Amino acid sequence: MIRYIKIQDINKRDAEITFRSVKTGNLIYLALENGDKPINKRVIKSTQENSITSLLKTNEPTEDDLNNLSESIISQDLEIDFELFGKFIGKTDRIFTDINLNPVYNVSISEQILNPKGELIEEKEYLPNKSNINGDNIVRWTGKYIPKKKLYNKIVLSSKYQLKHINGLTFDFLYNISKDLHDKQSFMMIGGGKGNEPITINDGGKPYRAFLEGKILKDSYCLIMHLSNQEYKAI
Amino acid sequence: MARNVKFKIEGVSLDSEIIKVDRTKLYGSSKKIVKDKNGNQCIISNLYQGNRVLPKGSISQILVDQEGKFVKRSELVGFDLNNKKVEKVPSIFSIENLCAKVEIDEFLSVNVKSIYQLKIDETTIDKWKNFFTNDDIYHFVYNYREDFEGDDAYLIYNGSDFFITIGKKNDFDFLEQNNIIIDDEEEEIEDDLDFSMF
Repeated sequence: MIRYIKIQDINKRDAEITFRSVKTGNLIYLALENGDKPINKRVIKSTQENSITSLLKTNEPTEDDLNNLSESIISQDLEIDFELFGKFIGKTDRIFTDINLNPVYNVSISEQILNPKGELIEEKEYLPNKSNINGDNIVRWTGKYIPKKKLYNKIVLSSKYQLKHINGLTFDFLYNISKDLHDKQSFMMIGGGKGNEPITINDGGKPYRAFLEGKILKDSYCLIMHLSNQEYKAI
Repeated sequence: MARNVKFKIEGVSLDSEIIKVDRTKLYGSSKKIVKDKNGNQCIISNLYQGNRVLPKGSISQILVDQEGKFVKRSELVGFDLNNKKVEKVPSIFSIENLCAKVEIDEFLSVNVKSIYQLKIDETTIDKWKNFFTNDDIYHFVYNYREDFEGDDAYLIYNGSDFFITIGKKNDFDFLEQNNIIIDDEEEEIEDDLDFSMF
């Protein structure tokens, strides 16, 4: 899937370009002594009838219930489901059920906001975030240059996306942004809305603050968008 | 409980407890609650072949060999990309971790997995600060438990606290005008955290 983002430059001109996440994969893989790689399989290890809540006939088992479970299984001489137990399976669908595992339709979804102690602050209607990085939206240049040495130990720049040109014009566009940031050894804060909002990459995703880092090398450039949702703050 | 880690920075041995910085403890969190029409809370279950409901936790991931026989994870060994066996990287708690100074660009390339704060004894705090007077950053190899591959870990100081940033460093490509590549592959987005800062 080609992913696009529309960003502004210093002159408030915008261009649509592509981007992709930058992530180094594992440099080590795990295998058997002879070098054969093992195969991952999904397997059924219990069924509805053998779930703990079914075996205990309660949805809120006490510690005593759990302590007595083994004895109860032995005394009742319960069996596993021989047809399903240990069966390799592929994909399954995920559905909403009640606590008795009956499918549920017409659900309502709310969102609970918890404070750092885990206490409920409010419960409100769940409204998924909309992506705000392309289409009618432009990720705006805020004009706030932040020197690299001032930002690196203040906020956690957790994920990286490399911005890429799609033609000669957007090459110049991104090269010039990179050169500006390279020369200033600074990040540029970019944002959604009027520039003061965090960006959301996907519909339903979480919002993040975004910072551009640019580097140039002769006639080539490297423009990275860093995302952050955390400060370096002690607990 | 915080655990003590030994570091060696420019030939000097230092140690500190480390505490994981959980984002929810800084900003709180949010969770989705699903209810049926009677207001009862719902759970997510698996539907198998359209007619069997399997409770949460009823499906496991296992490893099998080429003949379909079960393989224990402890039987596996690590190989590098040249298919050569590698030794295990020790846990940070079992060794003195050698720290090497790195440039800021290396640190900024890291995809961050977790953050720890250092809880340094008051009697040694000045010793620590001496190594971070010029926005210095130190790298060491991180493994919480002994394993075949360590992560990149970086010691930093923000003027009030010391932190360890853990992740994987990246090498970025520099793009020339003729490097027009339209990626046409699916990629997962790690997009599962709340935002409440700024």
